[in-house]
Amino acid sequence: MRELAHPVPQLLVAAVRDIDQEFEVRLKDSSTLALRVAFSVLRHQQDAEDVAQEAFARAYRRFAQLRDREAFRAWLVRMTWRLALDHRRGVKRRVAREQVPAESPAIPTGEQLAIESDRARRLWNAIDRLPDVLRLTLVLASIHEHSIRDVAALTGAPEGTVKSRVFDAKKLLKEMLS
Amino acid sequence: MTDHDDVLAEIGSDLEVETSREFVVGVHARLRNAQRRRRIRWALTAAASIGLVSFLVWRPSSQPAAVVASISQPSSPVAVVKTQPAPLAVKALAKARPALTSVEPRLEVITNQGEILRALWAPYGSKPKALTVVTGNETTEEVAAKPILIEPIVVPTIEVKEIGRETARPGIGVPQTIRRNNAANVRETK
Repeated sequence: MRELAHPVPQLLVAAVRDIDQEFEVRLKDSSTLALRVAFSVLRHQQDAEDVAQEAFARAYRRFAQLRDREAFRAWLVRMTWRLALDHRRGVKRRVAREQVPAESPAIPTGEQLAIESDRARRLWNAIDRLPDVLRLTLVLASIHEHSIRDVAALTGAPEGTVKSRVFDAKKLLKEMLS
Repeated sequence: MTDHDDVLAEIGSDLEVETSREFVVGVHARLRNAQRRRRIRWALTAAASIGLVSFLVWRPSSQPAAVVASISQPSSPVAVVKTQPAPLAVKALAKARPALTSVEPRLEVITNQGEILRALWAPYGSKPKALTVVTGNETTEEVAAKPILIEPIVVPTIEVKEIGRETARPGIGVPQTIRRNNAANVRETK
């Protein structure tokens, strides 16, 4: 009978350490993506960071099934998007309860105010009115380093579908802004 | 660059945000909190499970209660006597009997059973007497453990007499001497 090179507890510790190291790599690799996805919904840096951190915390629990890089990023994008929408709905409900009229769900900081010029505000209001599928595809396609193939991998849709969704989204935006 | 590309570029430039230095620290803090919460949940679950198992293993036995309950069921003979309309003697017996509190069977002796039976068969209108029940505190085991006393059989002495010479019993028949005298008198008159 072949003896194990390491006893079982050491193997377990090594496996856990491997998982932690892999997770750290994914965290550094995908944190900007998660933050930008959350920011596209919330347009508030701190809230977007909170949501992205929560998405990573949830991803860690399921990391055994998400060790593949592409699968991890796709799952992270979907989870961040959903959490950001939930967060935004929560903020809207809170604002409605407090009866404070607010166009933006989060209170904009000076930085956001600078970003949200008149045109930018109009643009983002129009993006907010897009259907969810088109909106996510457009946001992912507009993040610089993403090609159509990347967006297809992140959304789980075929490339042709991604192309048509981007086209439809831009067309709708143009109509809304004109 | 077309208008469509301009829109994408504009959106892309608006989304050019970078994570802060505290981002990774915040993720680690969330992971630690989640692990702590999970440990607390496991500890509570384990404590509850151990408590439940301990209760199931060491809970007091319910055997005596079950026996008492079965005795008090209406299907038992004692309960039937109480619930059904019974003769007066049986009622008296039930009255005389102390309340059943223990599981242990008791020894009861009816001392005037013959008298009661005669009273029961007596003509209508006569009052039946109550049964006199002597209740002993002895249990069946105690009775069984007692030695059985056997009294010696007393056989009366047998007197052997000739047939016809037995002494006349007083008040029954005529003595033999009188019968003989009567026979002589009959012969003389002839």
